[in-house]
Parts: sequence; C-alpha cells; structure tokens
Amino acid sequence: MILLEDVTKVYEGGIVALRDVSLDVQKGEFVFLVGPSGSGKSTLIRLMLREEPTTRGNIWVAGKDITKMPGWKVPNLRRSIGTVFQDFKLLPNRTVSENVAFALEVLGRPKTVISHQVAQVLELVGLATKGDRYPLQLSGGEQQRVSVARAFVNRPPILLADEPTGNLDPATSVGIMRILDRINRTGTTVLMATHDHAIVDAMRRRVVQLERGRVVRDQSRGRYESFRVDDDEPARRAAPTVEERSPEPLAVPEAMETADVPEPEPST
Amino acid sequence: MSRALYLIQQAFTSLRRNALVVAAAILAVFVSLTLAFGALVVNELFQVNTTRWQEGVHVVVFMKDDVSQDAQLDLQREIQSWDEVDETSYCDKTCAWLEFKGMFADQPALLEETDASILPASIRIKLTDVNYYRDITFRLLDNAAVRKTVTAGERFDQLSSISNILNALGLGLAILLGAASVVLIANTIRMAIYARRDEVSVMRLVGASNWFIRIPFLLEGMLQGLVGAALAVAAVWAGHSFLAGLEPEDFLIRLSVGNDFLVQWGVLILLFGAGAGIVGSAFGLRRFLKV
Repeated sequence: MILLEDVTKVYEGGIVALRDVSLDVQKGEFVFLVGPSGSGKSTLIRLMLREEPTTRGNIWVAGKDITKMPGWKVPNLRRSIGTVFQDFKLLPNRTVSENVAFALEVLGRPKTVISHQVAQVLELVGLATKGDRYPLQLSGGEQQRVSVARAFVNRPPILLADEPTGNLDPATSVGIMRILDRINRTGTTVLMATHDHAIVDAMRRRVVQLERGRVVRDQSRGRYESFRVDDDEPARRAAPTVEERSPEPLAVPEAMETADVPEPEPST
Repeated sequence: MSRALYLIQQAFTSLRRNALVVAAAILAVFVSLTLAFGALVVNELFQVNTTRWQEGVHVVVFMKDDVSQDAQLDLQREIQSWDEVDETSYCDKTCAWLEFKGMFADQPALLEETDASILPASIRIKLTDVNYYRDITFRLLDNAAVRKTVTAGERFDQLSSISNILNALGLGLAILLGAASVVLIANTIRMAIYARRDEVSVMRLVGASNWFIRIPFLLEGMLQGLVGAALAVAAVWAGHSFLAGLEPEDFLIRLSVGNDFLVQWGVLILLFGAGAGIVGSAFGLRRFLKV
C-alpha cells in the first residue's frame, strides 16, 4: 500500500530530516511511527502527502510513484489519504457537519449523498447529536473525533495520523484510538506518528522507530521502547510518561503495562 | 452544473463570513476608483471648457470704407475657399451698427454721439483649427481692401498650453490612481486570503484541486472589485449631478460633462474594478497554492 525506497529528505540549509528510509506497509496494516521530536516522523508524513518533494528515493502510494507525480494529480492522491493532525485543522466557522461534509464537497459529491455519509460517519465517531455545533463548542477530544470523521468520510484506503492524541488527555486519547482501530478493521491502512507510550504499548501493533532520520527499529507487535539493553544508544524518550500525565490507570484492554518502562526521565 | 452552483455558493458564503475584510477590500476599491474616475471627469471638464472657449469667431477682418461691397464679398468668397477656413460671415455697416447698438444699449449718450457710418464692415472667420490664425492674418496683411485684422490668437495660445498641462495632469493622476487601486485591491484581497490560509490549507489537505480552491476566491475578488467600482461610479455620478445642478445657464464655465462620457467611462471603470479584483485574488492566492 505504501512503499518507501531509500527516501532521503534534506531541507534547505543542509538539515537532513530523513536518511535512506525504506519501509513497506501492507494494505490493512496499522503502523506506529515512533521516535523523539525531530526524528523525522512528521517529515515522513508530509512526504507521503506530497506536501514536500523528496530529495532522493521513491515513495509508492497505492501503486503510484508519488515522487514523479505531476502537480495536478496531487489532489487526487490526497483524496485517497485521510489525514488527522495534532491540531485538528478544523474550520472554526463551519459546523461539525459542514467540516466533515467539506471533504466530500471537494470531490463534487451530490448533496443527498453527502448528508447521508456525513450522518453515518458522525455516528461512527459518536458525534451524531453534535453535528450542528461549532468546533470551539466542543472539547479537544470531540474536535479530534470530528477531524477523524472528516479524514474517513470518503473511505480512503489510507489514513495518516500525525500525533492525533498529542493534545489530548489519556482517557480521551483512548477514545480516539478506539475509533482509529475500528477504521483500521474496515481494511483501511493506518500509519500513525506518535509520542504516546501508553497507546503504543497498549495496542501492540507494528512499530517503526525513527531516530535522526533513520529507521532504527521495525517490529511487529512492538512497544514504544525497544528494551535493547546492550544498545550503545538506547531509544530516548521525548514525551512524558503516562504516569506523569495521568495518575489514574487507563481503562483500556491490556493497557498500561507502563510500570516496566525503564528510565522514565524525559529527554529534551 | 451543481458544481458550478456550489462554487458560486461558496463565494457568497465566504463573502458573508468575512464581512469585515470584504468591506475593507470594497472600500479600498471604492476610494481609489472614485479618485481615478473623479480625476477623469475633472479632466474632461477642462477639455469641455477649453474647447468651448475656442469655439466661435477666431479672426475678424475689418474692411476699408472705400472698397465696394462687391469687392468685399469677393474677398469673403476667397477667404471661404481657403483650406484652413471653416466658416465665414459678412457683416456690413448696418449689421455693425446694430451690433454696436446692442452692445452699448445701456449707454444712450454714446449711441447718440456715434456716427453709424464710421463703423466698418467686417468678415468674421471661423477656422478649422485655431492655430491657423497666424497664417490667415499673415495672408491678409497686404490685402488692399483690409483695414485691420483682429484675432484672439495669443489668448488662444495661452489657453491651449494651459489646457494641455491640465490634460496631462488629469490623465496622469487618473492613471496613477488606477494603478494604485490595483495594488490596493491585490493587497487587500491577499490579506483576506491570508486570514483564511488555514481554510486553504484544509482544502488542499482534503484533496481540493487548485481550481476548486481558486474559483470561489476569484469570484469573490471579482464581486468585491465590481461592488467597489459600482459604488465609485455611483459616487462620481452623484457628485457630477450635484455639480451640474450648480451650473447656471449662460454661465461662462461649464460644470457638466456629457452623459455619453459618464456612461462609457462608468462601464470601463466597472470592468476595471472586476478585472482588478480577479487579478488581485490570483496574485494573492499564488503563494498559497503551491502544491
């Protein structure tokens, strides 16, 4: 579904964000992209959306090499990828329904189809009764659910999420993860960049760890930390631990085996 | 079709939602185009007035009394045949006396003392172009039948040079203000788009094509330009009507230009406003639409 071949991204001024990254994500997979801030997670997502050109290497999305895609085809690419961001990216002057409908209006779908699909997806994210509210009248978690609904409303084969729980408290994050999990179970490939140890450890899906622009770990059913005791340079932690963020344990199935995470000091 | 309707609807919705910035853009268009159109009208007023002053008799040829009327009429026919001459008229001694009486009707003493026979007959010449007055005067200088040639030539010269300067100033001002209005519109619309860059980025995120994003903005820009221009035309029209209302009959200076001028330039200003709106939004959008 997504294939990266030796992808390198160098920003102006010679800052290397990604270095020879290769990655193969199969259809229907759920992949966590982990690593400290500045490790290249967001850059990777931006490259997959063709928001930036790659410096070297090829990226194949749904069988097409997007690094060679002409500019006018990029909107089509983006229609096949749902995106969720830490800052929600909702339009404050549109209601919840209008925000979600926007993704379909762009595709030129007829109104009746739009209203039907919007209602359906709002039901899925548990906001069926809040369609007429404005984003600012919602909690952070609800706003993120709107953003997920918008990303999924046209049933894209791929969903990219960049720190979708970054602004949310642990309990709310769990809610978002449940929705993303459901979406994944419909066959949608989900790639999620995150700092959230608790979530990664609870979900036990494939984990790709980036450090300084390189893939240092690619593990199926992985955890946030690799526990490589003999490693010269153990994976550092960029986010506060779950214990620091929430004194209460989370009510997620098989969740929060965080007590055994070593060295809980956050790095800078 | 439904897509076109959707895009138009989008344009109107966003006009409504961004009322304040839209008002600023319209105001910018209105002010600059009012000034530009106003400058054009003032310029036209100068032209109307100077051409009016240049109309009428340009050269008067006074005849010697000892020349027969036939000879005088022959001379009139000769003058009439010259290329530079548009019209001539002959005023004999009786006509001169009647004119004199008309001119000094309020001074009966003067009329009583004046001998009608001393007033000379004259040929009045209207030229095709005022600037030929020197040639005509020169040609008639040595004519035996001519007593004296009178022209308002130097005054014509002064008037033309003043009107040329005023024309240049007026046109220059209009062009300058027109250019300023394009920049102002472009800038204001850019500001409006900048205020909505999040919306544009979300549009791109969900896969809107560049034209899909662009069209509502271009429509918006066009409408803003059009409304601003319409207000400017209305304001100048109202100002002109007011000024024309002040103009007394048989007043030396005219304060109104023709309706044709106002209609022609009004339409041009409207088109200019709409065009400037479109160009302004196109420029404003450019940097936000890089894929």
